[in-house]
Amino acid sequence: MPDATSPELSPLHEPFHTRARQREADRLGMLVFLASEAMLFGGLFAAALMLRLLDPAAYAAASGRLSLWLGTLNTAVLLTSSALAALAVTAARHGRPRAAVAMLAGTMALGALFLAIKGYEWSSEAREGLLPVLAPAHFTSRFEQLFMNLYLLATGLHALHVTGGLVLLATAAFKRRTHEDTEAVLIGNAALYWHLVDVIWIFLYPTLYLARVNA
Amino acid sequence: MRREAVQILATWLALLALLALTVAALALAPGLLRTLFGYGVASAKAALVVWIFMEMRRETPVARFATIAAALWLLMMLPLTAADYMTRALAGT
Amino acid sequence: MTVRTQAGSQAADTEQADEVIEARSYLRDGHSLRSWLLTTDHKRIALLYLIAITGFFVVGAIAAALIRLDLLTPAPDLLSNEGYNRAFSIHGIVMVWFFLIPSIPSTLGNFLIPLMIGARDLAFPRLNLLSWYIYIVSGVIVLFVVIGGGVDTGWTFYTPLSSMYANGMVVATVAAVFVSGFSTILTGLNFIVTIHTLRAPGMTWGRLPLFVWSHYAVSIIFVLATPVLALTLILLAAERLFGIGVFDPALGGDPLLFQHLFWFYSHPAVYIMVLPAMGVISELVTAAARKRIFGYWFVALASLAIAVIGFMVWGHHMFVSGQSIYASAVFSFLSIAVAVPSAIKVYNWTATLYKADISIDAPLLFAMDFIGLFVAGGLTGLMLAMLAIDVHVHDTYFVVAHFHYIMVGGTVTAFFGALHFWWPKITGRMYNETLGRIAAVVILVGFNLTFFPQFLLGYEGMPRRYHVYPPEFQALNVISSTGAALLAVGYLMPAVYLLWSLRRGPRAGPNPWGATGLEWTTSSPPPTHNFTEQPVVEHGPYEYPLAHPASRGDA
Repeated sequence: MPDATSPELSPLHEPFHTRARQREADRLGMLVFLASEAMLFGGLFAAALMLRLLDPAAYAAASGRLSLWLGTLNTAVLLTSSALAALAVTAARHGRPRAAVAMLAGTMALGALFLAIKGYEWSSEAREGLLPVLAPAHFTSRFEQLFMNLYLLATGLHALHVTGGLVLLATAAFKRRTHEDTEAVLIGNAALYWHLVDVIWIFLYPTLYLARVNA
Repeated sequence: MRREAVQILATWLALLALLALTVAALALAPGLLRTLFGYGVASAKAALVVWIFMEMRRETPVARFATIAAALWLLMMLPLTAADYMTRALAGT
Repeated sequence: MTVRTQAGSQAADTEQADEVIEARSYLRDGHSLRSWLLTTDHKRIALLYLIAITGFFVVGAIAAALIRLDLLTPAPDLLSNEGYNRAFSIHGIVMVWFFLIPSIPSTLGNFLIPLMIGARDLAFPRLNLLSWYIYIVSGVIVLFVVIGGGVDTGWTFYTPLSSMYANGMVVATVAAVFVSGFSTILTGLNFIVTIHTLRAPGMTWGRLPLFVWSHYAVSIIFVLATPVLALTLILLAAERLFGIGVFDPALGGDPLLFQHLFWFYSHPAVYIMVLPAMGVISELVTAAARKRIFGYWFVALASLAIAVIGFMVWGHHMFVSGQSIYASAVFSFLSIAVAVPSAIKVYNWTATLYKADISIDAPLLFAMDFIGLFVAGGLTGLMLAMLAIDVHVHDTYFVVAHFHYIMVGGTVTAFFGALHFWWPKITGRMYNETLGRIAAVVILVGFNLTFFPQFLLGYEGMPRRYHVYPPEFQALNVISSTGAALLAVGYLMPAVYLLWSLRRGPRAGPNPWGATGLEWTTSSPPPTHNFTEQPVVEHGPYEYPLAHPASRGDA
């Protein structure tokens, strides 16, 4: 039976008396933090909703300028990476640290792929004159300009969070203690954050890509 | 562990199927029905991720509430804000 | 509350080795700057916050002084138009985000919550320190803004003024507020997890002091409302810097969207400011009356009700902005509904005092000040919630008076009451009671002289944010400014005698008020780890008379 000094267990921090309590607190803390992150994006969804209500036809037309296939592909990529993250946590909890790290690596690879596809998508949009940032833009309507601005802001903010999630996953993958942590605390929390990033994209996808008039 | 891995795999397949469904739904006439369908499917996907991947099926009631709190609060924010935009034209205000 | 203590770490599931728990006061546990600036002790962090918010209170008060001086005359003779706009903007921004919002939660909440629940610290002590540093960074940015001339947009940053036409450092100001938001989100997170996971054995939810319930409710608002402000400010900065168009009708956007998003946060923000104050009052009233609170669960659940319903009323700030009249009607109804839980609390405090053997000390006087001023502010709030009245008084001094009655008459008064009540616990010294009572009365008189005339001015039609006004309004303005001077004296008094007591005040025993609550079972000031033995709770809160009553005034 591991005692208080054995390295397999995560260290007990002040002010907790028991590891079980500390674990519960760590997880609850992460979930509360995720709630705040979700509310952050909620404001963006509100902005998108209002714009859509103001001019549904223009919104749909603007949405049609995005690449449905790249958006759908990215959704599939992120969903798969979430599955891998869940598998990583399960593996860790069943005492299979090497499998867990392998799954985490897969998660991170797909996360990086998501960012790569996103970057490619942005650059092709810039070439088409749809992004206002680096290239001169040729919008077909002023509303389209607004839509693309919002699209850039929303996906940019999301990409920032994907990057943060990758950092968390990497921390969980490389920390030595994780390999021995059958309580899966760090992996568990990193995976939770990753799942939130996935859920936000799950709602960004119909908001940005599915409003178009046809496929 | 095998049982859990199978559940995760099954959930992943369901998620991809739902994704395919929303793309197929673009064949539906654009309008309220298609929009509701899209968000309905998104909610289903999110529910699967939260329940299975985030392991809410094992969590305490408090943790579950914390997880859906944002969704509940957005259900306060979005309809009430939309109420303004959707009724502005009505009274000519 | 009767407390049975267990020695050392004998709780059944403790895994740590036994340790000798030091009984040295937290104030003596390290004297270096490093021991303060790198502390993870919630009590020291509370004091760090107290010093910082006091500094910001002074900054905001100087802005207020400029406003009230300029308003002594109907002519724009002290400040230019632009200068006056900047004065009231800085006053609002500093007072709301850098003083009021952290005032009770980050100082007294931080200090007292672990003590009240029988824990050694908050759940995430290092996160707590990080919260303070984030707050300080945001404070530095806002000071930089103040020195740089500030903004003229009002604390509400309405578009398109703030996004397109304003002069001044809009983006920097918005950045300061954005950063400060993270401090509060992390504090709220810390409180929620602490209250869920660190309650002492026997401390069930039904035995929590109402101060803790209020802070739990406030933390819900911290975590769920503040991120929306963050996003709104990002949108505003993007609009100002890049013209993205989300608030610009020329591109298909809507300036009113800013107001919706802004007030979705900022209305719950006012409950952030008042809920902790209400928690304080519950403690002050029960201690002064030496009597159980009337309707414990009503008061506890009312806090949660305010936190929830408070998210659904924001449109009452937008009745005349162009918002649809149907939406306005819904918001009006919900705004009237949110007054109900607040009223329940007031009835319950009053019922607690009924037939009680009350000691008229400074904390009680501050509590009475609060109740009276809060009722006045609340009733006028109900008036404002009604569409027909609001159309008449929106953007007048009536609104200004209303919210100052709540925020100053309410929250600041409760803050001072709390400071007096827990002063012996925090510092180990008692202040001069006579001076305390006088200060409470001076503050009450000064406050009413300052703000009651503003109700009349507003009702008569004097607009807010103007420093030029019709000469017939001058008399009331002069009374108001005079009152402000008296109020300033009232606020300076505690600064003087509280600080004086640090050196010369009589030393306080563990429980100078004879009050219930775990914080009164440990020494004054508490040791670094709060308790020398793990408390175990066996009775409900507010179980008066105490089994071992400390006679009042005993050291």
